Amino acid sequence: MSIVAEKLTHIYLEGSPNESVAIDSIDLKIEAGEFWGIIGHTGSGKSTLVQHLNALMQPTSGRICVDGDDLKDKKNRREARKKVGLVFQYPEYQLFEETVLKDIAYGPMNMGESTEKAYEIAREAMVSVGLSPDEIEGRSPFELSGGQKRRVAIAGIIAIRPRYLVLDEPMAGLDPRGRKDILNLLKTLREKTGCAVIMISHSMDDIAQFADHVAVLNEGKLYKAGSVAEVFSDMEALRRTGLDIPQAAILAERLKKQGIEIDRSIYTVEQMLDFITEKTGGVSG
Amino acid sequence: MGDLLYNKQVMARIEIKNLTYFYADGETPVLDDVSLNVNEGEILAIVGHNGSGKSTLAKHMNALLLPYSGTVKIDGMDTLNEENTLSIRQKVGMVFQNPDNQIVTTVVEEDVGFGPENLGIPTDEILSRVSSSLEAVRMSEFAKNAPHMLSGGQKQRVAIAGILAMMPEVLILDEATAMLDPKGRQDVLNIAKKLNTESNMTVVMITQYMEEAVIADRVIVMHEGKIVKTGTPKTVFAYDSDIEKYSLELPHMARLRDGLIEKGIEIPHDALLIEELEKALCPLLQKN
Amino acid sequence: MKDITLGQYYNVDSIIHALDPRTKLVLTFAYLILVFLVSKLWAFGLVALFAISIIYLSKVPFKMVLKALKPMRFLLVLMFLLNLFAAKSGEVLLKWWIFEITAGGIRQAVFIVIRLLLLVAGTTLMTFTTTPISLTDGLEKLLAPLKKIGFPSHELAMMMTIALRFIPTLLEEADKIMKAQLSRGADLESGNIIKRAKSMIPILVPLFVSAFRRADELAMAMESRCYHGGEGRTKMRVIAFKKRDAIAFLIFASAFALILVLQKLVVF
Repeated sequence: MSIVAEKLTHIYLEGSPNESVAIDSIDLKIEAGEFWGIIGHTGSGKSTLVQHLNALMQPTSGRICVDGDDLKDKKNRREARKKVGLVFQYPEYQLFEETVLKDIAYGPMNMGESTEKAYEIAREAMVSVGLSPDEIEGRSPFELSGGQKRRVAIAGIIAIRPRYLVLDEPMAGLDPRGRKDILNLLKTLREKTGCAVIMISHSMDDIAQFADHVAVLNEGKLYKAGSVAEVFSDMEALRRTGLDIPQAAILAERLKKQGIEIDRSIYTVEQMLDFITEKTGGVSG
Repeated sequence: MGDLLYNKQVMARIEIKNLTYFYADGETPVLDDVSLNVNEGEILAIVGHNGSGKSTLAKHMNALLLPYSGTVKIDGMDTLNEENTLSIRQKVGMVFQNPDNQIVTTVVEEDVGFGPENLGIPTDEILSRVSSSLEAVRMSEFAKNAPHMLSGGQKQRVAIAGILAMMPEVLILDEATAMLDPKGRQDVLNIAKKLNTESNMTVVMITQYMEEAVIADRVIVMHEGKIVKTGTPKTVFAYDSDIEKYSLELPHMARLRDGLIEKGIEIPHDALLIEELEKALCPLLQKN
Repeated sequence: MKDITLGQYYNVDSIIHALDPRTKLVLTFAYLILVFLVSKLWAFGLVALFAISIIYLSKVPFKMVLKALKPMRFLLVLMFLLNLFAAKSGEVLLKWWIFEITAGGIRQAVFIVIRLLLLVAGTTLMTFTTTPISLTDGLEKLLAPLKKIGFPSHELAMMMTIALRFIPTLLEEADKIMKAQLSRGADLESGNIIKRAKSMIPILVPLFVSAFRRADELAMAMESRCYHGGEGRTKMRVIAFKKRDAIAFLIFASAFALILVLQKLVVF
């Protein structure tokens, strides 16, 4: 079971003078249960790519299959929206119901669940995003704090019980605490339900810490894809695409220049910490 | 006047004394007895989690909000006196969080001219201010573009140009980088830094990114409507600074430093920049 | 959705583009009146000839103007048929069941179609040659004398400017919200009218909430940039009535007078 993109290409306004290639022959395979990070500078095609995963956009050429079903087939598109839950950037701006409960139940009800069952699922989703149904289900989503709204919106997608959860910069605009909460929530959700997580993020630090695979987009093309360790081992190549290199990696580079031998790739603070303690003989403290 | 001792001190551009502010419900104060000076030519970072009151504080600095009690003075002008409002807003320019919601007109250069138009500046001067302001944020080539076609970072640069065209003395960035990608964020920060060093612009930066606060001269930590910490980045983010207590996190290099100190490795307790860690670590690693 | 051009400004340099927006507004208005005053087929020909020469001068390709007329084709057919059957005067040419075609009917149907075409071609040309923002400026200036009797001409122009600025932003947002709800399984296409209208709620509510939030933030941003209404406000772009505007007025006035006088004098 997997999402497979083959030569996936999308051209905006094809044939017009303003035509622009958003994504260009992308080949990518995402297996069920994996945690993928998608990075790339603004305009590299990340958002266009993820909107193909649940058939919101149709490829200009190439194809996209979810669990073997080609999304070219209209019948498969609806099914794909059940399997692939897409959380947009600033998802709290799509809340509309009178109560949190009704809003989260909107998805499952559209997918054909009875009201009762949909409410039950909605309450479960609330719990999995760390909100207490007793406290929050009857409240208007508009009177919640920013971080809570964000979690309600994510719960609205989780309630579809997707096999693949796709998120477009789910931490954008949140404070440090809020960012950490969302990341931890995704981690637990994946452990509990076994769903795949595909997350667009600008933070290589977050991806390094949470994802096991990463795809790097550059000007609409798939620049690199593979395990995080593999892709992040060549920071120089990533820097060329205009990405923000993690500070730990910059420090590692500088130490190398000073003639210090570093026998592994380092891109997180934790890796650096381990490396230094090992090297200095782990003076216990 | 003529007091030598006074002249030696840095001039305070903004003086806030015992500022308290409530929202309409009036129960818990959003700002609770805050006193603070913003000094001429400094970069002041105000950090704090969502709801800590940092943006409310910023909005008092150009009379968008008025104190419930206490005073806010800009160059000696009290914000409570309505006659001062326009001069205060001319002196203290503010860039907001959402790039889309602060650009008023449909052409970049006209938007930059919006502030000067409001101030009644003669046409010829508006034109020259607009072109020099766009120059300062490196957006001259987009002068005739439609704002909605620009990237978030470019929009924020246009917003800054719109403030510069009013010739302010203080530039407030009210979470102006929160919705930007790393590149856009860096561009905005570089411009703020450059304005500060080259034109002695006083900059107040409200931010949730601790990495941004590192470039400031002074950092203020807000928590539940109060200032709980103030000092240079080095002291605020020093080892044992307990900043996590306020739902904030340390900058990456400070986190590494603390981890190393806890393992018994000797690192200066206020090391904060990559260069500082490099300098401290090199001799240790070369020895082994 | 990436490139929403508002209005339909066609960016070239031409004498028509260079005219003061006030000139264009007033002359377009005069042209509209002329189109309603003309009532003879050959006089319409003269008006059309005049319009075509202005289009030629504007350097806007005729193809573009025709393209702008295309969406009207159903309206034109409808108006034609309506007038054909509804207007009953003169000789009856054809009769079938309750339908009756009269000479007057044909005449009126043809006239209404020509009038509509000329009207739309004229106003379209104005929007092709004038940016929305300078139209707004022109309107503000034209209406300025009404300020004395309390007409909010500055406020009106500011509202138009803001609307022009935010329409693309809100369209983009509507698109995004729609996609977000589709991702939650929203079905916007099937069902009867009531069901479809209901299915728009999840799109309209967030869109309105967002528009209000934007309005709120924009108001604050404008205030912080010293906006305090039109009083004491200067303009960055000064629109000036130039010699070419005077010439345009003269040419239009003589052409219009000529057409109307000819129409009155010539009997057929």
